[in-house]
Amino acid sequence: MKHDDLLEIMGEIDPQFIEDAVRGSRSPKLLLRRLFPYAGGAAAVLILGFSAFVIYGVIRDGIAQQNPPAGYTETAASLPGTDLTQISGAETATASVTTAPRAELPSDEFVEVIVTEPPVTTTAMSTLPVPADMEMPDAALNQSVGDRMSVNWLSTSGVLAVTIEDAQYYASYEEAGLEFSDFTEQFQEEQFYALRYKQDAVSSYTVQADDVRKIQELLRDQYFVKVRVKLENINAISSLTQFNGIYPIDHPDDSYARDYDFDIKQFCFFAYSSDDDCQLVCQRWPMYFSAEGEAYPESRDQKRDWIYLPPGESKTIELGVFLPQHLARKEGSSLYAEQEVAALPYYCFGCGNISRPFVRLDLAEHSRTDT
Amino acid sequence: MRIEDKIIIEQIAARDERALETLAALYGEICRRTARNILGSDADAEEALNDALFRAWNAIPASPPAHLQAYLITLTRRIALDMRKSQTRTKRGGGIVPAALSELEECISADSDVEQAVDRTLLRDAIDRFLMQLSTEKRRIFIERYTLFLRTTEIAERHGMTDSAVNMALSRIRKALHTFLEEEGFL
Repeated sequence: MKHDDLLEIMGEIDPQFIEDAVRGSRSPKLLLRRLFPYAGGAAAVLILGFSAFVIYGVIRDGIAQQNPPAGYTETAASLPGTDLTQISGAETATASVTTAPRAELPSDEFVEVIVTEPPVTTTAMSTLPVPADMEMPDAALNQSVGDRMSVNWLSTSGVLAVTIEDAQYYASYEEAGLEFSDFTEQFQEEQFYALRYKQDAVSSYTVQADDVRKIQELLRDQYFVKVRVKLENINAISSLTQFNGIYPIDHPDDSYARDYDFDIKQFCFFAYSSDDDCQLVCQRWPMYFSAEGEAYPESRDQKRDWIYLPPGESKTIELGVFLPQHLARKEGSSLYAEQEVAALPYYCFGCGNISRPFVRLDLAEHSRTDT
Repeated sequence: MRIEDKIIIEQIAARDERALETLAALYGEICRRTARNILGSDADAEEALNDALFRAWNAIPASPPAHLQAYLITLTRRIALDMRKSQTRTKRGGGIVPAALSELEECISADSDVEQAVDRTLLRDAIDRFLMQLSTEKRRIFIERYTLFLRTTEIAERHGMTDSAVNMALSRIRKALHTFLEEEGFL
């Protein structure tokens, strides 16, 4: 057998082992190591240092006993059983300085070493939140306001808990106070991968003004759903990146990431095409609003900055999602999505599909009724 | 099976190409990294991943994997190793694979006649048993090095360890594997 064969066999081991290794550890022990990568060495140095100091103290005391300082007397050493108030002032001073500290110092130092270490461990472990709903149940595809779900598949670096706090819908994006902005001109000169998983799928920008108008028209027939969600980084320790924290998944088509700043009242539109049938894809990023009035609907990097959550922290954001009216069902004061809609919708001119799987919001009883 | 894997597999079965996008987004990064460490090139790694996605697209409807992520990693890894073989026919390359090969010499000698008769399946099962015996952390370190081909610095970062501690751990695991394979009669 050649070594190459062994390497190949290492690729055929139990897939559970591979997935476990990719997923990585989220143990408190690892967190400690990450926080204090040299904690072991530091603790050893600390303990050795204290030990040396204590040994030095013992030796020093031994030397001191052999060479008593001036003013030290055997009478002073036997003072604990003596009524100090009956001793003269000069004798009292001599007794307190020469006897008490020398007897108690070593044990005090040992206590200090022992007390210093455990609180570090205890604190770190106690700050690791381990929620009961770590696994996302199958039924979680239907979400209502108030639901909390674990969505580790949204992140490459940890487990994200999402709580839907509120959801409102508007008859149109305009009613929600938003303006349509066409950024297609800014991509005219660019060539980028439309679908990177397909080789040779490089496409030039070919969407015309008519297409933009068509999409604008199409958006008029869509509800604009504004969802407020609370994102919590419940135990993320990056396993695949050097960062600790949660990022949204990297979309494979990331070569168009730009640094545009959008006004909160605008949402972006840009599009690209490929030569395949039914692949003229127009993409709109979801809209993220921050409390400070920032919106990062397009730039991947900016979105990363915005969504970044250190372990154990949470943020509440608002997310705008379009819901085609023909896919929506109104019942009384409620609005239901007949199909799955998602935070990253696509529109395909070929098939008219504007949905993506995974996230479906059941807005029942929590939606606006004044549409 | 995770819910997202189930959905992706259903989409692939329904020939919905968006599944590939999602698959690449979810698991592409670790596959790219593995392939990059084998091939030493971003472009080649991307090609290996694309190839793996293409094969997954064709194979999954007939035989859906139970572990989609591991399946994609294994596919990418195999493709990258094949690509590397064809590349090194003309030019001997450096990088992580030769280093990993050299390290594994401690476990199995390429010159041993006995090994010629070893059934790959039996050996794989034995390695699975060995990995099962290891502590979780040691198992992860070993797999990250020899299955995912991560650099020791990357492994150290993932485990919050120093580089030398990882090398020491790997060395001990290799020796343990050697002993295990001897005891099992493979050497």
